[in-house]
Amino acid sequence: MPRWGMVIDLDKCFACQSCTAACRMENNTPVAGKNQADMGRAILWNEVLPFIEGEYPNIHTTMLPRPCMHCDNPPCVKVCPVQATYKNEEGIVLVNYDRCIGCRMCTVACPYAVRYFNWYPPEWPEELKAHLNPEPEVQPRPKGVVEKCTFCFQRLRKAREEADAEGRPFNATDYTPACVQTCTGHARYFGDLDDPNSLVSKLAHSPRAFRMFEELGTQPKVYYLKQG
Amino acid sequence: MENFPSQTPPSELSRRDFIKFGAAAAIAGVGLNALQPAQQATSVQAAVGEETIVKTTCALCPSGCGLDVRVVNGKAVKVEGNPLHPLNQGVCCLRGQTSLEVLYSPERIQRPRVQMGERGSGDWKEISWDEALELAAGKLGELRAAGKPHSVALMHGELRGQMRQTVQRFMRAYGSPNVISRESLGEGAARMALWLSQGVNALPVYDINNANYVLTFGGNLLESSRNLIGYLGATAFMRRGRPQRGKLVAVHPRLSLTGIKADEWVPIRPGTYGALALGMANVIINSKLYDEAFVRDFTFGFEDFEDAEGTLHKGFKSLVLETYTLERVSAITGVSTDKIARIAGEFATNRPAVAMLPTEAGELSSGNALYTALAVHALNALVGSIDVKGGVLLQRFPKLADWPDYTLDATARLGESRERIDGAGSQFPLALSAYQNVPERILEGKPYPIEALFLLNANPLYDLPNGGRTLEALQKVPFVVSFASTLDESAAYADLILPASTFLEVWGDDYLEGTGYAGISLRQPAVAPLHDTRNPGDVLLDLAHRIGGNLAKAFPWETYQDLIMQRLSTLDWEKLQANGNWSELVYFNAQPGSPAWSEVVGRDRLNAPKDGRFDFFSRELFALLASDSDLACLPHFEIPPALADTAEGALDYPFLLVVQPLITQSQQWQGIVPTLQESYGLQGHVKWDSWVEISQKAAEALHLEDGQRVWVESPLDRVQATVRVYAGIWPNAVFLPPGQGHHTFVRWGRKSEQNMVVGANPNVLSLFTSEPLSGLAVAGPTRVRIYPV
Amino acid sequence: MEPKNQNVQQILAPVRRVSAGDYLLWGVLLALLLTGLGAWTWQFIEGLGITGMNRPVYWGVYITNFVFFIGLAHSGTFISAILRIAGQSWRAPLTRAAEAITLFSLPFGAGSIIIDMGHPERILNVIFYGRYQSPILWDVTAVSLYMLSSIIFFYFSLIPDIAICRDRLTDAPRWQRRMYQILALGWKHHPEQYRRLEKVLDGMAVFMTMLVVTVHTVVSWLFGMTVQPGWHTALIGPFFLLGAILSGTAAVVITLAILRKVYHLENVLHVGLFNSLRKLLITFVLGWLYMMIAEHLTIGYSSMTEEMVVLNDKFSGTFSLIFWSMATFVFGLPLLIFLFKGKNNIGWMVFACVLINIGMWLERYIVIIPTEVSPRMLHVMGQGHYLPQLPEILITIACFAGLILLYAVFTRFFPIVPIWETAQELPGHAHSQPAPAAAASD
Ligand SMILES: Nc1nc2c(c(=O)[nH]1)N[C@H]1C(S)=C(S)[C@@H](COP(=O)(O)OP(=O)(O)OC[C@H]3O[C@@H](n4cnc5c(=O)[nH]c(N)nc54)[C@H](O)[C@@H]3O)O[C@H]1N2
Ligand SMILES: Nc1nc2c(c(=O)[nH]1)N[C@H]1C(S)=C(S)[C@@H](COP(=O)(O)OP(=O)(O)OC[C@H]3O[C@@H](n4cnc5c(=O)[nH]c(N)nc54)[C@H](O)[C@@H]3O)O[C@H]1N2
Ligand code: SF4
Ligand code: SF4
Ligand code: SF4
Ligand code: SF4
Ligand code: SF4
Ligand SMILES: [Mo]
Repeated sequence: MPRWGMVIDLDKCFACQSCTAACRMENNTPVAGKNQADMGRAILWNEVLPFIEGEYPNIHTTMLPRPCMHCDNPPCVKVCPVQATYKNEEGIVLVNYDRCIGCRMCTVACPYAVRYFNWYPPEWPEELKAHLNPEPEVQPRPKGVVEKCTFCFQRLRKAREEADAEGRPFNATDYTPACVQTCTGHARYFGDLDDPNSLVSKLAHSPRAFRMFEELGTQPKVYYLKQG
Repeated sequence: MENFPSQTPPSELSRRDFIKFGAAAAIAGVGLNALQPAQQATSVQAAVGEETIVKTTCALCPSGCGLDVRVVNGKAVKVEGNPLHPLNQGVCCLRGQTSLEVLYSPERIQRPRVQMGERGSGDWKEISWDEALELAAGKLGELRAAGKPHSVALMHGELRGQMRQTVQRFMRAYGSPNVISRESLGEGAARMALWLSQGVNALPVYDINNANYVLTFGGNLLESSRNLIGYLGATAFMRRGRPQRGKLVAVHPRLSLTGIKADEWVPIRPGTYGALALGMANVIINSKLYDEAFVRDFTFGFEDFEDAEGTLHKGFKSLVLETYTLERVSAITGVSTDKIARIAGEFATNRPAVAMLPTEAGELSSGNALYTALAVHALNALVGSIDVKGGVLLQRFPKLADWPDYTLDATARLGESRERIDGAGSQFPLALSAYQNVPERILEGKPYPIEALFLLNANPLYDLPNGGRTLEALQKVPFVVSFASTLDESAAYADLILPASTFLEVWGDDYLEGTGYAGISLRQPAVAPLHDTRNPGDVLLDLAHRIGGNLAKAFPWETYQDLIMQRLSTLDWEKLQANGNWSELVYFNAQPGSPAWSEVVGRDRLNAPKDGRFDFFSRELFALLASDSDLACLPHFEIPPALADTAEGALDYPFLLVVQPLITQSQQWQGIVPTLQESYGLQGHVKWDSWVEISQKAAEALHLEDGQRVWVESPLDRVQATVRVYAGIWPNAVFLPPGQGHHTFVRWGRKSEQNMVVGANPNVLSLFTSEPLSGLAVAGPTRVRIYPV
Repeated sequence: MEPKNQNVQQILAPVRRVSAGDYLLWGVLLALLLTGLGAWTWQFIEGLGITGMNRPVYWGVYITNFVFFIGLAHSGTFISAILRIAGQSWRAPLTRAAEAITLFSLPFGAGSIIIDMGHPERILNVIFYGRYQSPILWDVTAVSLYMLSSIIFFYFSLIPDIAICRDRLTDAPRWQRRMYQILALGWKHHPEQYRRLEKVLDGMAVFMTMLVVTVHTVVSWLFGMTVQPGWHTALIGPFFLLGAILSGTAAVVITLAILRKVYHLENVLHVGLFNSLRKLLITFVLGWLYMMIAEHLTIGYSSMTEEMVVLNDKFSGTFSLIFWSMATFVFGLPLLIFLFKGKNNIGWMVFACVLINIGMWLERYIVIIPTEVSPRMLHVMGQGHYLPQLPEILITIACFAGLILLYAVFTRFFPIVPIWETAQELPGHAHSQPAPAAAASD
């Protein structure tokens, strides 16, 4: 049973936000528009978070692309009163949209602010609906539920189906999330953390590797590689 | 700890389960009860249908990435980078990702339309293509018959692949010299610098993959360069893809993403790059760190020299040593002497090193773009980085089938001989075109009145409003046609709009630029045109056939696709279609002195000898100007009066305006792309709006708070923006993002306005004039003041 | 024969007739309640978007109300249960008035959680798929248990008085008499019955007391169990509990004063009671202050970055106004009033208690919102902001209106002062209450 994880090399990440866009186009997160965006209600499962410190001209910056950490010890799962949020056997943390009661306990509990609530029903200008990804898993979420990065698990399903169709065993490398595929700096890596030979597990053990808020004991499965 | 599997969907789901689960989600999407109508809207395609991948080429910036468009049931639903494309190798930037929002944009003009009332009244009438083309062809025929084809002008923006020649061929055969490229606003400076020094009329390609030291002067290579995707990949490779890590240093008044991600950011007084480059040259020469062999054998005008008449001329070396001492340069640029010395040293000793030019002079082109560019490029010659691995390469182009011959008729020949309306070649001897000069010339009626103006992928009203002068000019032209795909600022004032299809709906091609080696990237329709729009190429062909005569003969193709296929017939069409591109995949660096070398240095010289020598002292300029001042032929730097903090007006307008494209800003598309708007201002958390970056110092002085709404005012005009106090900006400069200020007619998202202008257009603040020789745009320095709304 | 109580006439007086004034009051309250219901329907159709909540402020006044009303509820249980165990017999006259507050504020506490949900119609999922690690589930369980047991507790202690109404209010409308008939469960005032009743109530009191502690601690864990700055502290439980009891007791004072005035119960609800409550309140205010200081000092002293952001925001930042008015209302003014003005002066007492409850609402608000506004990711996400919108305001008003309405109506149909508990002599054994004067003695 693979344990899916991601590694993001901050030295090769140029904060281009292509991952952010790719995620939206793959997962049908709705257009917020000015009014809602100003209220901080834009839904972007993978945001690039700018961390800019210091005084001119000595400035320290870190640009942090932030998908869901798919914590091995996920606070969001613990607090969900109806088990709408759950971690599947492959370590992917998912939300069951038709069970979620919209109490937002998980959004409050997640230290990484990766969970987004649908304050309104999602909406697009009529014409734009044409490009929505038809995969069943990414049908637009109704209002009143929480959604977040899923590691593009629809792609995992498709990869397995393809392997079956071609009558070959499924290989971890067949499965690539949208943000990883499009990463302009080739800074994102994805794969099975339990496979010692996989690139991700090698990178996750590199001396440059760190995880966000390690001290909280959430055990994220998204690793970062230090800059420089 | 773990949840009870019985109560949550198992992870190993069969497809059927998934459909159930997903469908359930979809049902949920369809609305739990009648109370929630808005949710029906979200129930799109129930199940996945048959699926195809179409390979095409992005047109949203000059990089021209290969794209794989996923088409399901005739709808384009996802875009990925084409893994078989040598430039982007499977990745693609956020603009490529969101190109589907361009394709399906509700902002698009859906069929041809004529202006019924006042120009700009918005009183449009939709007409058929036949009527529209009759109208245009009629007008063109009329003017031609009246013997003034030259009174027709065509202003164009980025034109890719065969389109550029198609347009030129059309206008030439028609009989007008007035094909005016937007280039003078941007890449012109770099191109001209290469021509005057290196003797090749081309844009430089920087081999970052193999460089050990990359120094960029303003060029925002990680955010908005012409070769964006190439440079992103190359920089990543330079850092982690090879044994030895190279260094990237970004010189710029503002901490852009390039600055943030560079190994070092060198803040500099806006518009003084030239001085810095010359100061570095001073250090390098002084300490003998330059490539002496190369400079001796393959350059001209380094040392002082005597010409044929025996007059003594100053060389680069003595000019630099005398004039650009560290102290002086430091005073001009505001960069400390030891920093200049250090960088110069690093640059000269970490070869291969390359000094990058911005191909977009941006807002700051301060009336010294040409010589600045010459100064920067001279650094490359000093360290012998001309056409070496990790240096400056020259883009090679594939051999394509020849254009069929045709003869110019008398009218055309006469027209061709006329002076260009923009003054390129006459008022500006060096210029190929001077886009920003057109409005003034139209208003003056010099050298002759313009009867008809075509706007192809150009939006002068947005780029250079010049306090209403451009609008006046547009109004003065009796007949204005726009090919715009959205009702952009200029199109709104046209008489006729021949709406262009987006790049995802048309046939076309793109030269594979940015790698150096020759290649072609194919553009094929991912979906049939959604609306009654056409490829401007097809429109030109059609017009040519309607006008007939030699013009028709010049275009013996039924469709633009035929034209493309014929031009590319020298290549393996099957492979081209299968892979989406064809390229040589290897770049042969020319040995200095070898026959190949003459292709790289001196190739395109007109009046100067093609002796394979790189000109520090531009013999081309010397011949052209026949000037007695050596300075005019050498890279040099005078600080533009308005730049100095002591300049008059500096008191009323204390800040220098910096504008530089953001990666989230799409250029070829000026409609609103919602996802780009929602990731717009990364550093300042700004979405769907403009912001103005000011320094801590300025904020304190003006008692301005982060988040406050302010006016940014220049002598010309003023715009509103939200204050962002930003550590990463030259204390006396302010930054406004370009690309905003467009009108949207669509209601984007809940409670947003139906009909609004998003952000503000910084171009209204600048007065766009022209540099004397080069005809390059001068947009600055623009001085502004800031006060609360 | 029924208990001997010379005040029985007085106590039953309000129950005898419903005045036009009552109908007016009820009407107004009902209108407010319905407006709130309308607002909720609107919210249900449109989505929670119409509130001021956003990202990262996922919780707003609804959750504030939840905590506040549950807190209010503690009044009753405290007065009747805890004081019962403590054998404080002076409490007898005000037990029911207090318990009524419990009973009628609980629904609005529990309701607030449902109002806050994105999918209230899925509430049953909590039962079908409940996950016991979730503090929300703890809340649901604790609160519903609490509600159930207080109903029983309340009802039991009401039975003898219902019986009295049944026997005495023969002129009441038929349905009313039928109601008494049924609810009295054929109570005969047998000495044995009373002994049993007392036994049961004593037993339940213990259980209730434990519940009080649990419930509000659990409520606080809604926040405490997250790792968010400002919430993640062991002290939050006791802190919430004490706050709850404080606001509850204050609420009792207010209600008593009003009942006393409008129903002319001056010598049943004599000043002595207020003086005793005053002593309690002083203790609670001081206790609360202690918690307050302990809490903020520990945080402030450790000066961990995320924590400090929140702290500074309260002390000197965006929330300083709310924070300091909260401190003045809950602690500053009331303490002064209790010490120097409150004694034998009901007017001042009420004033102080109103301040305390306003303050306590603000206190809940100030615990919840600032933490959300400055989450861990603050430095990269930017400050959040929150301003309650119309629906939230309407619904909040409705909750208070509803509470008052239920209370007002109740007092017109049942004796709000327990006749049998304040009786001089109960059937069977002569057990007599301490004279009012005794209780009032200081
Ligand atoms: N996201 C995005 N990408 C784009 C574009 C876009 O709009 N958005 N536009 C595309 C196009 S058309 C182009 S041309 C390229 C341009 O992209 P680049 O070539 O990277 O140009 P810019 O990033 O605009 O850099 C402009 C900088 O040039 C500097 N500069 C100003 N005046 C002078 C001068 O006189 N001399 C010198 N040496 N430097 C000067 C200023 O610092 C200014 O900020 O980007 C392309 N890519
Ligand atoms: N302040 C400031 N101004 C600048 C620059 C700067 O750095 N700073 N950069 C300059 C440079 S380098 C450039 S290249 C220009 C770019 O600026 P422009 O050339 O004005 O803008 P574009 O978005 O490239 O295209 C212009 C118009 O073409 C239309 N269009 C878009 N897509 C298509 C299409 O597919 N087909 C057709 N037919 N039309 C289309 C759109 O309606 C758009 O309004 O800006 C120049 N102006
Ligand atoms: S796409 Fe890659 S490079 Fe761009 S921001 Fe995301 S992670 Fe960084
Ligand atoms: S990052 Fe947040 S949402 Fe994702 S698993 Fe961890 S806690 Fe849950
Ligand atoms: S909002 Fe939904 S997912 Fe989150 S805790 Fe509540 S029920 Fe679970
Ligand atoms: S993994 Fe998929 S869902 Fe998660 S951020 Fe990347 S693209 Fe979005
Ligand atoms: S870099 Fe330019 S060409 Fe490539 S995808 Fe982005 S916009 Fe398109
Ligand atoms: Mo450009």
